[in-house]
Amino acid sequence: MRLDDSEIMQRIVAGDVGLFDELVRRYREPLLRVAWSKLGHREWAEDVVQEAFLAAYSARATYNPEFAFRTWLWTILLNLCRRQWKRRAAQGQALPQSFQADSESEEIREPVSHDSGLAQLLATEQRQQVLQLIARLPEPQGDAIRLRFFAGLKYEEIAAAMESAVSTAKVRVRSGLQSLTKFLQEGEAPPERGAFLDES
Amino acid sequence: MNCDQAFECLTDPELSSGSELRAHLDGCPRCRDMADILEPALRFVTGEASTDWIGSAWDVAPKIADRTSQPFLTEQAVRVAEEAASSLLARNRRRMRARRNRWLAATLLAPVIALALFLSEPKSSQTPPEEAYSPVGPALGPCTRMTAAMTKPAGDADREISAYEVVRACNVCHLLDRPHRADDQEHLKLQPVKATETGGLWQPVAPDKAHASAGISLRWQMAAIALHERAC
Repeated sequence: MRLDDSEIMQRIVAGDVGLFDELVRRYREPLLRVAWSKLGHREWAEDVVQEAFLAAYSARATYNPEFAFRTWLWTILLNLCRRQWKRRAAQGQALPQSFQADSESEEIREPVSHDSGLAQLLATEQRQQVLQLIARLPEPQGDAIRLRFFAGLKYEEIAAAMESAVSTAKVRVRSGLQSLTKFLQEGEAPPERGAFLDES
Repeated sequence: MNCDQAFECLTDPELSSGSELRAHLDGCPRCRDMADILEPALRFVTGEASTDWIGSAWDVAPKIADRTSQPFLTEQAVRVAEEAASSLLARNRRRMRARRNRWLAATLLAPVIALALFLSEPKSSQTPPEEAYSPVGPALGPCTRMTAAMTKPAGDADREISAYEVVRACNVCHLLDRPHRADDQEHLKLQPVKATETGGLWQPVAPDKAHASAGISLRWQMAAIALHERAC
């Protein structure tokens, strides 16, 4: 029988701490996607996601079934990403450079799926373009788009995680998409596969 | 589906190709324009490039997890989690309170509104009968009835007053008898042409050629003509 998040958390609070692994399994991947797209660096994203889980676990006594666990987790993640970002910015590591460094990293270009190495390379390149364009958006719009499309959150959940009204969350997503369309029409689109092949 | 729900579907990869959304877009030009505008961006963020990483790049996650750095937790992170919990709880309670207040207000106001509606409703004895608005028969006001009767041709006294006659009777009082303004150049006024000789032949004349006896009410002129006709 599949327990819902609230039941799992109540059992964890009651002492069945082993169940926390189940929550990690459920949310690790979307959290990593959003953290990576926000920070532009996979290792930083991994650190932030681990920290978010540990923080939720340590503060489990403050969890209340009146709010959704996943909303809580997303709120923690966004706040930790923001903190991480400030810390990195203070060290002079800007976001676009992070994306660039990541895209040139040998590890990320390593073919790991069943696709050919070249196809993987192309997909990675396009993904970098997606992340770079979203990183150009104002932070609230970028976060709303990440939560909507990379995490699959509902607008109510986005609003709760970003501490805004539902209508504001919708406006942010719409404005962000309009800006992305504009960027794409200005010729900032990711390279076509053919064009990329020519370059390589 | 309303426009708000259509936007939610449009930005939901699973629902964006649904028939319900398509039906809404077919009938709503505003949403169709929005969908056209957002289409490149939506394709961009929901396309293969942005979703592939789930199955590809993150396959290396175990490799990353095996790296030398150890999981860490700071006091600040725990504080972030605690603050998030209290903030979400407060937000949730605010929403619950607002919802409860709305229900309470609705419960309290409903009887008041019902009472107000009941009191404002006109009593049946005060409501004029529907046939009072009928343009024929005894429902006509005495003034209109009298004027219409006076303008009827002789010999038709027993015939019911027609709609045309009612309108003509109204015109007698409310249009023809209007005081003439000097600047009202376009205004035409019905005047009897040699009323006594012709027995009431009416034709429009320009205001400047209006009857010299403008002070005399045309209504009574008409009445006089009608009576003359009847007498003949």
